[in-house]
Amino acid sequence: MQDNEIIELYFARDERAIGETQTKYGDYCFTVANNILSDRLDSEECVNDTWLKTWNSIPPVRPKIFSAFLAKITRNSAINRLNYRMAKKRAKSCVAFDEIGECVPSGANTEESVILRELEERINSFLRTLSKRDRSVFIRRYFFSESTGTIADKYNLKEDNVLTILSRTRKKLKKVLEEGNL
Amino acid sequence: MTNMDIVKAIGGIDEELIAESEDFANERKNRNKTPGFPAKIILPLAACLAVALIAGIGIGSGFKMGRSKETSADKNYEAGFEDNQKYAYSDSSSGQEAAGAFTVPVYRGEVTENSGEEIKVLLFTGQYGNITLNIPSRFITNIDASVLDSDDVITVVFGETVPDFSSDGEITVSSPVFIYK
Repeated sequence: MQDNEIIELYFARDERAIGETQTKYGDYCFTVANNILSDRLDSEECVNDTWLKTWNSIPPVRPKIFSAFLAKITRNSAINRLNYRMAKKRAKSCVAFDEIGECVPSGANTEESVILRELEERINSFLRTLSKRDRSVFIRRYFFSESTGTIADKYNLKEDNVLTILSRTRKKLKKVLEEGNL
Repeated sequence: MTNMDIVKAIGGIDEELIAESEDFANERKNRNKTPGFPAKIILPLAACLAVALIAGIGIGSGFKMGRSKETSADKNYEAGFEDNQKYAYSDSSSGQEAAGAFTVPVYRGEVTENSGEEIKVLLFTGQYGNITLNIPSRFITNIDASVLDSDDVITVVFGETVPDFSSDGEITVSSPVFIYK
């Protein structure tokens, strides 16, 4: 089924939408999650979260590129799950800090989300200044968390080249963020 | 700003850029880099051609292989090569020194940008890893720089001065080079 047909099912609140999404993008989303979590069960749960969040997001959202839309949701779920996993492992004192963190006024969260939004915009602008190759290598590594070997194979490059491209791009990004006082 | 802020912000990369990274993999896979001949044959041939070309320049300006030091020293200097100096053949793929008494530095690299005024090349130097080389178009002596596209694998021959690759960062060429696609 074409992506736009699946999206129409979501808009019609037809539950077949989830099944069709799972059939077409189940493996893809699992890979995105598993690259971050490296755990089959966690990754499967994360993918299930993705279907639910997608169901809740469409409508009103109409994704421009459905696969990328799903990848973003999956990645964010996986990062949240990873944070949760790390938090559970933390010492009791750290947990106490987390608890006291709840007392931070809500304005701080608003400020944080504004900063995050600005950071996202800067990263997007920065990526558009790169060549398609460098941009794609960066995205495969830091969005999809793919290994440098996988990227080298995918893009027909030597692994050394991938490492060099990533190193140079990180330096450039650091400079951009420093110039923007972020 | 914490590491996690960056990680989260990367999660906000535009969907079209994410999709582009998928498409780019297909582009690269479908690319037919050197139809007919593999790069392993083409590049050594290009390197030999480059050696012959440089030697030709040397001969044209009075340098003659096997000629005695006493009679050629002044003309060698004019040609840009000091007497009896042996340049290393630096093709990182083989690491071998070219045969013959007259050798030149030859490197392979990949064009990453061509602005018209300047081309950027990711140069594979072997010993010093990959270096970004900025070559102003006016220093490209044998071809029109506009024929070079991003992702072209090329051979770079330094005609006069070999940059110091041990210095970190990007290097900008300030003397003529020869480029072979």
